Amino acid sequence: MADAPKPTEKKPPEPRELFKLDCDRQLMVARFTACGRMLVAGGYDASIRRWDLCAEQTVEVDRVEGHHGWISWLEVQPGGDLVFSADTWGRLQATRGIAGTPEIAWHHEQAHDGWIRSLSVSDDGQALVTAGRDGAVRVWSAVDGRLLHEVKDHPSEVFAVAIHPAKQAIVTGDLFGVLRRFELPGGKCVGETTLAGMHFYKRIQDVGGLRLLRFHDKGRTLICAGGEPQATGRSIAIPTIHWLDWPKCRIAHTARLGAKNHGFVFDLAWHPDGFWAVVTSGQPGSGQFLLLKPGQEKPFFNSTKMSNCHSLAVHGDGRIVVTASNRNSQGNGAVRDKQGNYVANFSPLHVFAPPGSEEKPVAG
Amino acid sequence: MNHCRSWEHGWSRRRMLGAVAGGAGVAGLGGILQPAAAEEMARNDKQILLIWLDGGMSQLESWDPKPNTPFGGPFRSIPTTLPGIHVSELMPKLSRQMKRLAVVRSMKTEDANHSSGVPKILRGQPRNRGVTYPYLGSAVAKLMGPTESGLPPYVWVKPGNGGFIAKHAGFLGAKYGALALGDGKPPANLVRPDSISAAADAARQELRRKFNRQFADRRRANFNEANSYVYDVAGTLMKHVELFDEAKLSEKDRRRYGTHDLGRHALLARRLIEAGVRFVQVTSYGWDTHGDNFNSHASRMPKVDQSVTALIEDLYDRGLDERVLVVMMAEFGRTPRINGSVGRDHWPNAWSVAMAGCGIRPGTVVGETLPDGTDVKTTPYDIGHMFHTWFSAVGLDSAEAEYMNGTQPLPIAHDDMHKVDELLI
Repeated sequence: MADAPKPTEKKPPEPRELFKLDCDRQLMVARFTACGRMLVAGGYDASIRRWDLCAEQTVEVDRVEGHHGWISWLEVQPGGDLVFSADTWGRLQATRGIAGTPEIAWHHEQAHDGWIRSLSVSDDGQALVTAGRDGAVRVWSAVDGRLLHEVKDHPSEVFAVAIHPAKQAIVTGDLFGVLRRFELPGGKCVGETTLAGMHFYKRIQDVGGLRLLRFHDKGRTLICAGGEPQATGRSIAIPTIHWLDWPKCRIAHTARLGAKNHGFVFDLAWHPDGFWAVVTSGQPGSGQFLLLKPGQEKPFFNSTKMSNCHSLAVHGDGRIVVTASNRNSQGNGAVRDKQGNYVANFSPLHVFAPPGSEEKPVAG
Repeated sequence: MNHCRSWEHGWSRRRMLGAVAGGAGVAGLGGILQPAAAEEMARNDKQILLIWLDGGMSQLESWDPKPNTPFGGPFRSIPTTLPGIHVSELMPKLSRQMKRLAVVRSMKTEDANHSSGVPKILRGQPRNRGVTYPYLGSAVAKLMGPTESGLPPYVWVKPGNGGFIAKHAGFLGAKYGALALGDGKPPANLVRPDSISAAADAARQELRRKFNRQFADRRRANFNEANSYVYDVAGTLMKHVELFDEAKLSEKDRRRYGTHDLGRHALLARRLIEAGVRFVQVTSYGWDTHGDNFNSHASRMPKVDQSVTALIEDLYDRGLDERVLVVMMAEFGRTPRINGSVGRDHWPNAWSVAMAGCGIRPGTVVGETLPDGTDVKTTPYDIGHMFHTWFSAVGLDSAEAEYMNGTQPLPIAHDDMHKVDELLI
């Protein structure tokens, strides 16, 4: 007797790539402006790159200069006009009118002594917090750049920082996978939790796995993302996200997103359609673009087509941009271009329509 | 077309003597150098300390930063005590030692692989003459022998396992291999148990030597030499067990050097040098930063900065800088281009080597790379140039001294290369 045909499982809808933008340098971070008109990004050339999404064809427009080293972080002001950018030489900058004629609203050339590791903006857009290699954590007024609070002499190197939506606390994640909670004002440390596995030490190298902190759900959940490092010298780690119950400071849920060659979660964002969009980057050529429903451990979409994805952002209309790295010139040879030039690697930006968009066309 | 070089035809009186001496089986310093040179070397009190950063430290995150350039990476450069010279911000302590250091920024070598590149660099990559050349430590052990301390001439302080590493010696023969102190620990069971009296131990050793002689009659000399040598080394070390007594270390020294592997091993190296070991190599593994290069260097470089600075300070404070040559290097540098894994790959095309102490002109920076660091702008130097320079710094004339492999004379450093005079006092 023939088996009865199995009902066909409906494949979950997948994001659809709309177009790809080129960028001649590598990017660390990309965001959509609050108005939705512009895609802004920063990276290894220390300039803020801008793509006008409202032009007939998406084109790159003039860069905003002023930074040094690398732009290490960039965030837009929720509901506002400012873009905050930080670099590896310690400069912090607020740029106004980024979607039109940009001007620097305020800046601190030495907001930190060296690499600003992390930058986070409060939900109301009125404050931002930065953490640097100099062991300082600082809260700034978004409006005029005034220093509002400061945690000096953090006991270890901070990799990630976030400010609670109620602005009564900041949280840091350090090289050793330790979360510290500081109350505001005052900056007193009021709690400490170690995320086991998010630190690895061998051969005189500490590898920090806790690289991204983000509050969610009106501050009831703290997302701790990065990886569980397995080696030194290479990006070998199991990409990992912990969702913490913030009031209890306990892990509520954990997702380990793939094999150890996939490295670390570099960026994530909540999508208005009710899922997390995540990118990872590990060994050269390895990278994932994942979509994950809350409470799930397995993503419902996982693409490894792009190489070493370093940033991701969600547009107000649901589109998702993923910055990746080019696949060539990753190795020991002195690979040159056709003209014989030794060129830098670069970051293509892939713009996707959200899953299910076949039914509802997306502008752009 | 004549490809022969003058060296291959130049049968000098010195070489003839060496060949005859070698052929006649004169022991001297290993029976290869001519006796007069051997005696001279035995009086030479110079020593070498090599800090080997295995895998390849980035020149851009250390000695040759290119901030704010396409391949410069995230870090700043900082001024040093040498006017106009900047190094990476990851080396604040070494930046203040710059007047004592010499740096070559124009290293250009050939091999971009670890497996073949490490031995080539550590052997000085001489021309291929069908023999396996010794590593630098074995070469020095052979050419200079032990100091008057009688301690083994080549000690390798390394993470992981120890033992006697004969293969470093190449054609010189196993006895010129490295005594490797795994994790800086002495060989196991070094101290004579209380249950064995000194007299009983001496009797046992004499019996061993007798058996060895009988064994040796039927086997190749090199093998037996090495076998006996290991026992002799153990005997010598037994007289110096205090070298490994960490309780004798001051808390201040521990703090200055660092409690990490490199700090502990560099501190042991200083003590071995003070005790009279001719050549000490300290190895730090894990510098092959194909991924996460900048976080890796941010974690690693401060440890190098701390321990190497402490070492240089101590050598100067104790007047050992006139006697001890310190070299810090790897098998190559790292690519200017940053890969998608935020790493740097292997780059022998333009990298840096640092040195200080005996015979070296302090406060010297030799060579320059292009503004973007992709190639050497000035005269490129290979590892052979460095071998000539280092041999010269410790009083060996590498243009004259040579090995005798049986009746085959062999230069001790690449015969097409020469010492770099700018680096020498």
